[in-house]
Amino acid sequence: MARFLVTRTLQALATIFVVVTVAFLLGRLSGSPAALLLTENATREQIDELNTRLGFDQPLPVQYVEYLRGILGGDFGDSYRQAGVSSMDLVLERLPASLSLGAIGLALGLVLAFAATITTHLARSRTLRTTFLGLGSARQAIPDFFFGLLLVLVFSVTLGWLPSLGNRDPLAIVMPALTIATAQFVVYTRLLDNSLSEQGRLDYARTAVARGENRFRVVVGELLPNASLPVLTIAAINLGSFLGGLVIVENVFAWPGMGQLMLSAVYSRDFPVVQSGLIVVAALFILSNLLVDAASALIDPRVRRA
Amino acid sequence: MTTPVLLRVDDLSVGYRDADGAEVRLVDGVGFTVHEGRVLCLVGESGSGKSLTMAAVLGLLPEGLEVLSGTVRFRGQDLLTLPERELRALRGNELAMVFQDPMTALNPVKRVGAQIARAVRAHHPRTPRAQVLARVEELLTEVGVPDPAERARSYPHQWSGGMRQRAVIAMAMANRPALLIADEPTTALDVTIQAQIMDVLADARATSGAAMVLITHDLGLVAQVADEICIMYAGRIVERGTVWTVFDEARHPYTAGLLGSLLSAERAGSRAYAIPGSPPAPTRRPPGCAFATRCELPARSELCGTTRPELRPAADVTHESACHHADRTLEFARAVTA
Ligand SMILES: Nc1ncnc2c1ncn2[C@@H]1O[C@H](COP(=O)(O)OP(=O)(O)O)[C@@H](O)[C@H]1O
Ligand code: SF4
Ligand SMILES: [Mg+2]
Repeated sequence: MARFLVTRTLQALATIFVVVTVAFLLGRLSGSPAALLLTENATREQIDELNTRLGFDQPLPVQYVEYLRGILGGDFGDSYRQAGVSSMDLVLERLPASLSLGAIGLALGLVLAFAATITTHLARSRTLRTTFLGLGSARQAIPDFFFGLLLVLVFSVTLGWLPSLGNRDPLAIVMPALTIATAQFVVYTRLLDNSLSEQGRLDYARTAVARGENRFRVVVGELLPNASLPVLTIAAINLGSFLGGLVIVENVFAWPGMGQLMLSAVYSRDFPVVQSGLIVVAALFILSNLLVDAASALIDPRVRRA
Repeated sequence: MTTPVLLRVDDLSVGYRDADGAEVRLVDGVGFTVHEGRVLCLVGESGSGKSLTMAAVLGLLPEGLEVLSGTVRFRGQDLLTLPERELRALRGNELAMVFQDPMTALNPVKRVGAQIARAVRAHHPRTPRAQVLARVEELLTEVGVPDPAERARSYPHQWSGGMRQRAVIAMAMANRPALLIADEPTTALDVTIQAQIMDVLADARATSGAAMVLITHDLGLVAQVADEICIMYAGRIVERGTVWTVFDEARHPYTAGLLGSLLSAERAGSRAYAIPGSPPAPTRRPPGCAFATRCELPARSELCGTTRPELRPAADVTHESACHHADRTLEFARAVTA
């Protein structure tokens, strides 16, 4: 267990280090930000003064070491666009909005997928399976931004039931969360369906039937814990594309999250904000993977031992 | 001395329909009777339909396979037409099963004790927790698991194969079944463990008085435990009788061949008899006797290739054979077992 923790911590640190390095290189790739930050007719002195202040007059390795030292001291660099404001503060300010939307969207997607799949298997119904997978695939074939706009068109513009922008109204989360949930739905429905069918053919399933368990007990009590394991693993792998989707959904619904912030930071070349955003995303990644591992260990005693 | 009939299977066929809608019979017209407290052995090479026969009895056929004909009467009730609910009340209660591979028969993510407890709870849902725990401990003790309270809290991967099979037997015995179906319960185990598991089964039967259908291809085992014996070949029963009449006077060349390979294997030095060839695939059974391609009975005739022999009394009504030349097998049997 101690060894496990040490390995995982080292892995996490290595990942963060790689991300920090890539973020740094991205930020330097386009050269001095003077052209961005100063007016077109800035004098040579003004440009030199800015470069000195931001450290751009130093050789790249020195800049890199400075950046790392700053991070260790909790200084992730100030935003280019909002002078004097820490880029990390800007990102962290947006974190709760992203987390709540992402978590609710994903949780809703998982709940729908589990409910649909369990119903299919309890009823042993091919029709239900085809229906759920068909609906899910049809939804997935529509790009998120287009589906989001469709929702806005129906529920905000036509019916006027739901607010279309921002996150002030408590109901505002409904449409962005639905967009995320329905996009995730088919992924997990297909996974869990396959996984449950596979488990159902194993000997222990037959043992359960042979001792007189009813269908619900067999599916939910015996097969489901085993069938959820691969789903969890894939969920961790799928996190990247999920976060990508989150950025788009935040922008469609003007949801004031990190995705929206980072996209606008990219447009305005506010590299410190982009860098800090990447670091936070990487940290989230590591954290979710840890959570998935913990959940797997909780379900599967064989993982616990390893 | 006969006891009342517990299970009576008649004309049971199991299989599926192929792409053209034609029936493929993996089990074809099988029938036998199990009396209360007695042991019936289903014997035959792997693939002869033993497991499917008993899976059909319990309603445990894998997806894609169905019962194509027959009746299965348990205490006079036809299990094949019984509503799922009522069949469920019998499974794990009056009718229990032990499977071939203990390594896969238990749920890997649930504690062994909890799985045995489910066997109690499935049929007595309102039993107090403490009582269930005590019962689980008692069952584990009966099947010879040391430290039952402690072991009950561990997971299957922490148990050896032999111990897992004991747990599976404990689960099967949880509600004192009237009939225990054991599908090759020792095949997957080390030779040294096999005898122990058979002892556990014998003890369990002694305390509960349960009848047993034992599926096996080990004729040595049959000799030790069986009252009645059914020899299966290519989905059909080819010989049926009490164990000693069949062993002493094999009325089917296939049985004779099996006995021959068993006895010559036991007696080192003598030349081993081996049945030549292998059984036909279920989709490619010959029109006459399914054993014809492998049969070495000197008396076999043209009839064997054209007409399927039906099971009928050979020596007396309790000893039946599905061979056209059942009256000419004794000499052959003596020759191959010599
Ligand atoms: N699910 C299935 N689908 C198709 N054929 C099967 C299936 N299960 C078993 N069989 C076939 O049925 C025959 C009998 O199988 P089985 O009853 O398991 O034999 P045994 O227990 O005597 O070894 C074999 O030829 C096997 O290949
Ligand atoms: S019927 Fe003919 S082929 Fe079949 S077992 Fe008897 S003698 Fe052999
Ligand atoms: Mg078998």
